[in-house]
Amino acid sequence: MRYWLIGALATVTIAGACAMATMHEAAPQKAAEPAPGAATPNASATESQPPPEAAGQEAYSDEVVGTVEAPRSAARPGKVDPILFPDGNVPSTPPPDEKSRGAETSTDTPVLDKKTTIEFSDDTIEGELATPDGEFVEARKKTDHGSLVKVPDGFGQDRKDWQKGTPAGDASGKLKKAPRAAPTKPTTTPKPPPKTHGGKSRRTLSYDDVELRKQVSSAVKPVDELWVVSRKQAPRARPAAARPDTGGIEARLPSSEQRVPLPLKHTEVSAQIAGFVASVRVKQQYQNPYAEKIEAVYVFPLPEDAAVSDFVMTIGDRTIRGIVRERQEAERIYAEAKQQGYVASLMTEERPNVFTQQVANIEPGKSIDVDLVYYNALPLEDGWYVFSFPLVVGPRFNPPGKADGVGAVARGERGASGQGTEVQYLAPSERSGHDIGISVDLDAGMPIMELQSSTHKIETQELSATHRAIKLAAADTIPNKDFVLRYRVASDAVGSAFLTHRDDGGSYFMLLLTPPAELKKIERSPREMVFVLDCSGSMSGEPLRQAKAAVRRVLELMEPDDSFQIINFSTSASQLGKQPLVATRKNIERGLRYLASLDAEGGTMMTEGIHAALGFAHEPGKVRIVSFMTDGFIGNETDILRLVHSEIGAARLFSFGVGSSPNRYLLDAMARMGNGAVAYIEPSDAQAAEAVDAFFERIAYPALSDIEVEWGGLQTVDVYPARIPDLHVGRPVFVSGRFTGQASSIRVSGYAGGKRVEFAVPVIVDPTAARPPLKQIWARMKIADLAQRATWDDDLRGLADLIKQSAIEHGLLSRFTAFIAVDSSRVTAGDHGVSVTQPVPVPDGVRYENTVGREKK
Amino acid sequence: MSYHPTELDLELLRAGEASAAIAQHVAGCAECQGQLARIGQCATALAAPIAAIEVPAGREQAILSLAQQRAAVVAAQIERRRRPRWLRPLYIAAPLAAAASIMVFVTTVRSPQLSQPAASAPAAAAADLNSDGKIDIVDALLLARDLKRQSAQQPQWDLNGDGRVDQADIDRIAQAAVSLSRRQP
Amino acid sequence: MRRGSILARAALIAYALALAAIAVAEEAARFQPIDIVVDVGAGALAAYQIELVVTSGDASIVGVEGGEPAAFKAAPYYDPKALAGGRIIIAAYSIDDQLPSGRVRVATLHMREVGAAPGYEVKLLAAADSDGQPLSVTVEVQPRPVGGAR
Repeated sequence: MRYWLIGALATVTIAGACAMATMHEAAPQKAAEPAPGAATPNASATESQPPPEAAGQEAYSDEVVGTVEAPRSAARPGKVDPILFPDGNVPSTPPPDEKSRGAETSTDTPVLDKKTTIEFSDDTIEGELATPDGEFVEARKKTDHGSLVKVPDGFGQDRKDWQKGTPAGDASGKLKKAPRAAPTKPTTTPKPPPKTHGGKSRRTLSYDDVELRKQVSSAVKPVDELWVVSRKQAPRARPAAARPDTGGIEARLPSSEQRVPLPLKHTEVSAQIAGFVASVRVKQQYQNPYAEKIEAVYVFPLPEDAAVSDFVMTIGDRTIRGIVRERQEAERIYAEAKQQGYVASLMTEERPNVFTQQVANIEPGKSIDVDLVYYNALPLEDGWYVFSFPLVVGPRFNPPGKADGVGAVARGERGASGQGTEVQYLAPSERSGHDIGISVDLDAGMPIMELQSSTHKIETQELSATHRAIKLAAADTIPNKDFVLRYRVASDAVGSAFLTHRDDGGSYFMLLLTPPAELKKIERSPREMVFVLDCSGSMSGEPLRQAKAAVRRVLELMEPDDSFQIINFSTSASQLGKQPLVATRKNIERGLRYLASLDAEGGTMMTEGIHAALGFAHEPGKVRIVSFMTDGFIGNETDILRLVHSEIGAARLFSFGVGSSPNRYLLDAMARMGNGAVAYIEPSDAQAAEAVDAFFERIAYPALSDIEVEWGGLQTVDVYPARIPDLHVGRPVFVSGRFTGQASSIRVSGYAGGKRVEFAVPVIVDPTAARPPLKQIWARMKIADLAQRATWDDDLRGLADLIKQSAIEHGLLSRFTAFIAVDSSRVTAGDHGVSVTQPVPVPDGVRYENTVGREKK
Repeated sequence: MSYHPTELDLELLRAGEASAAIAQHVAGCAECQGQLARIGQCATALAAPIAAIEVPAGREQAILSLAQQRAAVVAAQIERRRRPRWLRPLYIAAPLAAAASIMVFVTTVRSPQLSQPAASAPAAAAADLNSDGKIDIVDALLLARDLKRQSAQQPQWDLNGDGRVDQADIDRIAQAAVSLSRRQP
Repeated sequence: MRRGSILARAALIAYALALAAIAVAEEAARFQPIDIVVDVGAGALAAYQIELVVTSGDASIVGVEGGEPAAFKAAPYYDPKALAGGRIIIAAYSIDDQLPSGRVRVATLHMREVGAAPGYEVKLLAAADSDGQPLSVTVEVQPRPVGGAR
């Protein structure tokens, strides 16, 4: 009998221990689970919002962000949130009645849905807390289930509940925000009409200045308390408020810019171009202008082929170099370090050209710098080398039904887009104070014939015939458009070449292919020109004007045996006529008129445009050339690339990037998938005309396709790109791989205009040749090729591991790796910082109201 | 037995595998004996042409090798057919490809803290500035010191082959020094 | 009786396991700076190369920091492959005029530790003065007590 008792006791103990263990385990585990898409799990702080609008205009929507099931058990004794329950009394759970159920009730009683959903992702308390009198109180606390607050019945209905006693948290300090107008005293706020939500009628809670969104790191457990979280609705119609006759924050003169204090002060870019490889150091200076600890979050772009290889966090005079880790591991380490109060920084890749930087626990008044180093190769486009540095991620459109895109929301509206990665934008009248410095040390190795930037004002210093020092002029330091620097060097016509490198790991080659002269002697087939214009909201204004000008120019140059079609798309696609028109003068005029009639608004369903351009039947005997004019502001790049890949057939797709901050990753990839080439139309008319003329020259001759290489005595392996792209006039192609053996020349062959073309490339294999960068470039080409293939090839198994392995081996940032740095020498005071997302300006030329505004949920 | 044995029984009898009862019957039955004789003639007639066929020696080998050849051809066809489908979708890598343009003029990166692969064999000897048989941080120090003093630069110190002796070459030595995959003697 | 005693033993084992489970589940990661201190003696240190190995326990590197003297302020070189494998080689040189001597903190490694305190072993691979001549130094590893409020 005794033994049964022991057994029963043991069982109870085990059960209890397991329950406890699960709870403890769940804590670090939840901290490790970042939101999908790996954007920061933290929300932005509300103190970055402007002071509230005039009383009565504010409203709260009860979009709740957490779930706690609420069984009917007694309240937990002892641990009571002193803020929401100042007198320490937690009312016990009332028996279920129509007030607490989410049933429809009369409009007078607030209905609280007992099952509300809260996103528990980490420990940060977001926003600020204030008593109804408007005094701020210490806003952070240790999170555990005991602290979950039970919302009393009738919450918000009667303000008297709040004024009972003194808030216990008052003594622990007040949250001072600088600079900020004093919050308005709550007056009797008129009760807004009830909102219908899923069939249930709910009243919006209207308590002023109290916004509490608590995100705890432990798993959701049944407790007797629940959160009803009310989210402050953002002030509506910011652009409208810019008009001087509206009230609110923009009541000041429209010309005065509102400075919003934010964590990123300055970005310094210093590039060294040696030959045609750029090594770029980007220094981001974060500082905390608030009176309490913050976490800074910044979503920013880098060139899509940038290989980020170094990451250094500078605190005062100490420098801590970060390391590359597997991405989820790095995110977990960051969450732990942040939770425990250490200064830490984490950099992750969301897209090949979009990255997120998070810096945790920046103490009040302190600065932390994050340095990163990347290097990339400069493309050679129609004789010009192009160094481009993007400065802002344009507001992307995400087709409905997906959550892995890149969202665009107004400042302070974190989570409004529902996307995994999100960028916040400043309203047109706001300035963040973040400015940019750019300096380029260009050592071309050959005399520089011409150097220009059509995007920014620059100051150039000539150090020698081959060496220039370029700096961004002081007047042009707002980071709202890409920095593009072009230069041309003196060189004899570069023919095809074969270069090698050899080390302990083997022999590597780099084959440079330039289109042979014979291409220009081959007659091209008549062309079926299909122009596709992105007419979505982001193209409104300057970008569409540029696109139209480019199309106009091509139309004027067309020849009578060509035919053309004009397609425009935004949320859906439409076109000039049922069939392509022959390029007679009359038809061209018709086309020009149609062009002129086009306007830009709506979403960017690029799939519609691609279907329309590639989906209709081919005219035999003509080569279909699709010119796709867009800024690339979409969040579903993978879908588009997949679609182009599957529908391209025998057509060629040339992408044209317009606007000040085009999505180069997408545009370059589309051209590759489409066997075409990419061109960028810069804001300068002269440059735009040149780009269009170069394009026309390119399509005036057939491209060399189906290229095959006879390697002769060489045995090659691991050749990237795995399929040699078509050779277009003006765009050389590079092939890299490993090899053994010897040969004196290799033969390259292909087809152009139906004719077979062959040419030889001399080969000199020097066993002692040491050009180490060649091996690194080969490694990156391998990663890039694999990543490219992953956009459409679902069967490619082990791709993530391949990329991860390569990235870790070379210490590079990638989709599957991240940089993490932790300063473990000091724990910062206080529990958790408030998360502040750095908003960015909308790219130059893009209309805020057509892009950021439209994605409100 | 009150019935005659079947043809099968008679064949068995010829083969010596019939039962004693059948043998006894046939021995006393003229009809069955006639039947047996006919079966015997049939068998002989069938066997003769087959016997006349000459089977060459090594016939198994020949068949096997033929099958192997055929299989190889088919496999090659499949491979050929598969490769275009496999290759065609593969598209070019990023403008990193353009990086190769640097190779024409052999340049390198000039970032001070860049991870680079270990030096190749001829370069390794040059990197060992103090000739102590290993490449370590002291070699980097010596090169840095020489650069600072602007002593005559020896071309073999241009480890990254960019035509210059500069910080990038020092970095290469340092990276080689800390590389975990290198064996330090 | 036999059944009962088996049950009792099973219960005790299960109890012990449960206790162990609690112990394991309660472990959270912690962060610990490890100072690398070199005693140069009378010489002047211009370059060092040191290997650190995690001999026991669970520790991984989350940051590599420079040292105290101005000559070695910058974060040292290290191999990016030095991951949770628990082995790292760090090295730095300086061509400053002012080189440190005596006891010098040349670098700090920020570690993430789980469970019992891990064992660290440090090995000197190279140390030299400004002429590249080897210096006789000793090196030790010192976990630093973490400062700041909690």
